[in-house]
Amino acid sequence: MLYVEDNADNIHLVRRILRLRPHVELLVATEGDQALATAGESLPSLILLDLRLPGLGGQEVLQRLKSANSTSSIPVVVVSGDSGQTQHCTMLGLGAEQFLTKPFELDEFLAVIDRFCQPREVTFEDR
Amino acid sequence: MRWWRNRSIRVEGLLMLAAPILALVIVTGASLAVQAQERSGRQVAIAARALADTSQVVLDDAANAETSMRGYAASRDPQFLAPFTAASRQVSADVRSLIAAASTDLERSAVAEIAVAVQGEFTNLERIHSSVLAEAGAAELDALETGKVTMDQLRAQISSLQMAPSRMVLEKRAEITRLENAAQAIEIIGVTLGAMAGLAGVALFAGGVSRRVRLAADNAERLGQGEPLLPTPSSKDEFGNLSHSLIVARRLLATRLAELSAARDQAVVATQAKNNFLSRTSHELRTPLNAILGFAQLLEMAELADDDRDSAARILDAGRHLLNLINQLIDTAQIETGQLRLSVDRVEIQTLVTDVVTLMSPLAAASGIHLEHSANTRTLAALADPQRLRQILINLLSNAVKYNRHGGTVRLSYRACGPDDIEISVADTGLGLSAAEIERVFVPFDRLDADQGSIEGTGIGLPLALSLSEAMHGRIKVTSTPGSGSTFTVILPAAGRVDPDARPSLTIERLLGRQSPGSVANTDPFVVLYIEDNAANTRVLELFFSGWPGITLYTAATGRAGIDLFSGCRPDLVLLDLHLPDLPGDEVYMRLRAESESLTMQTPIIVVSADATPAAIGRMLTRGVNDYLTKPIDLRHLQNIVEALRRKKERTDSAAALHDPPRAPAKAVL
Repeated sequence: MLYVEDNADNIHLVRRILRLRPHVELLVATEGDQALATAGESLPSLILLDLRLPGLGGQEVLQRLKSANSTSSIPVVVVSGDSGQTQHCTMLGLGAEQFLTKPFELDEFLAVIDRFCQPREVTFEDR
Repeated sequence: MRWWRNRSIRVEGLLMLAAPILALVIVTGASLAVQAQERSGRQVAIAARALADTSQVVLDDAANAETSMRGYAASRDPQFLAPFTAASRQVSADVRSLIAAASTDLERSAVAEIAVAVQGEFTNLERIHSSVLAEAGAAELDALETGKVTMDQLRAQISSLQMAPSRMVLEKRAEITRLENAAQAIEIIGVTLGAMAGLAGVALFAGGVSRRVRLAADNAERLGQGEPLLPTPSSKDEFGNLSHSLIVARRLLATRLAELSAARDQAVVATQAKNNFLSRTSHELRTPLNAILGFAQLLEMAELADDDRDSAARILDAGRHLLNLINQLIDTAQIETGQLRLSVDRVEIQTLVTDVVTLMSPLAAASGIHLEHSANTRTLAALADPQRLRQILINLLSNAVKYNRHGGTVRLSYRACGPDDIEISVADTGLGLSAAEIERVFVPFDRLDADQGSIEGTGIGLPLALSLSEAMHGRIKVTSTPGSGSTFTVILPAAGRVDPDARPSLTIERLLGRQSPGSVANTDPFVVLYIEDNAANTRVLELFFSGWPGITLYTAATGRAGIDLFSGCRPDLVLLDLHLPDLPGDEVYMRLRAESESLTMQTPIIVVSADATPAAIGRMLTRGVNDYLTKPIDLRHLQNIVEALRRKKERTDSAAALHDPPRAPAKAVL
């Protein structure tokens, strides 16, 4: 999974949460260009995209991901502090799979991970 | 004219009255003079008559004496002497009367001559008497002759005396007549001139006054409407002062308006800035809050000592509370700037109430409050945004718990209120509110207990609940008995009963992932006109409406076809795409709107466009479109719109049918 986020605390948090899902490998990009590059190279199962990014904005990143052949099929879940419905709709319209409002509930977050990052081979139970 | 304008109204009025008053004085004077002349003429006539009468008496005395003496001379009979003797005795007194009656010098000299002549006559008559006694024939004849001459002379004198006064009376009469004529002429001229001068004065005064009053009134009205004043001729009288005051007022008003406008602009900018700040800050706050809540949740899951687990739970609680406050701030800011988006839907009240009570029970139990709700067997549904209605109820419930007395009760109940409304009430057993406090509870950031600081809160919960209710076409009612508790009641439009026979159509279910709306008994189809050139989009809406009984969809692929179809199918709703092959979307919209007005229909026109730029949306909303949907169409939203319109139409149709049963079928043409 690729997590695009510039806030260190939140990166740390997601890293900790993903200990609950050991089969998920976490890649991190802290800005837009880096996110596009990593996505193109690693072709993750899921991209978790924060909308507030330095440099290239989250919306721009989403549009580029969806317009590039290699990355257009990767599901993108948008994370934003903006709970407004307008933005919500815009993102879904641009091809985002789901919308998570910050701060997200742990259960909600795990549900997203479980929906898109199926374990390739079940090795052990996480809990 | 200028001189006249500068006089005060009092002076103008006096001047205006001066001419007729002057005329009246002249006329009165003339008539008094004539009267005085008449009086003096009458006195003169009386005096003349007296003189004439006395002179006649004297003449009679003399004539009697003459006749008596001549009779005696002829008959020598002393009997004839008696009248002579009587006249001789009488005459001196009569002559004295005559002298007294003379009033002018002329009369007095004439009277003196008469007196001398009378004296001479009587002396001559004595001489005749003595001649008769002495038998002196010649002397007697001579004396008789003299007497005749004297008598003729006296007669002539008295006649002349009598003539003079009557001439004078005639002269006086003529003079009076002349005077009367003159007075009459003066009166006529005076009255005519006075009336004319008076009329002219009144016309000048009243005309000037009314014209200037009208001008002043016009200017006062213009002042009220904020228009520039009409120029007024400068003058120094009352009207000049009035005009000047109006000009001063106008200047003052203009200054105040400018100040007010500047203040309003500032306020708008400030509000905008505040809301932007609130919105931005709130978003920024979410990022650290995400870490706080996330780690707290991880901690809760970890194997911790009880104390530590409790600490984690407290961090989580506080964090969630903070999040709630941030959300309320954002909502408030969005409502203020009109950016709040609602997704109005059919909400089952029973389900919602159970849900909310379950959610709030732990909080109530922790505060020792008994939370109960009345189960209503009737299935009721409201038209509301489910999330927002839930938010309102949670808000009211948490207030009812917070402001309750320890061990108190909070009761949640609901009922249908008439056919159109649904009431949901939250009653507490707290301290209650006074009328003044009820006014204040809906003022943002104005907490009743802010100074006590015993209960946490920002004071925006209730104002937000009210704003949200109003945005959903509802309201909140508060009743309270100080000392025994308050009841907050949310009133929302009803969504109608659930019809168990309404089977959801498969198409709609697949499209919407939910049940189709409760079908409404409707014989008159609800007509939708969709103007769109993209066949795929048309197909989507055909599918969407096909599973919906009672709705007829007409489609047009060009603007012109749409306009033509409009008058033919008289739709209840128009969905308009702005990018059409033949005409610009704005023009199609304007022509449809004009057509709708000329048919006295108020057809809602909703734009459906891929152009989601605020500029485009703003432009069309300014032009008066009823809504602006961006593509891809949010079908759920569209469904809510159509359902609301159908309900409205059904209500007006049934109302019209009640009032006017043999109503012409408007859509019979199709």
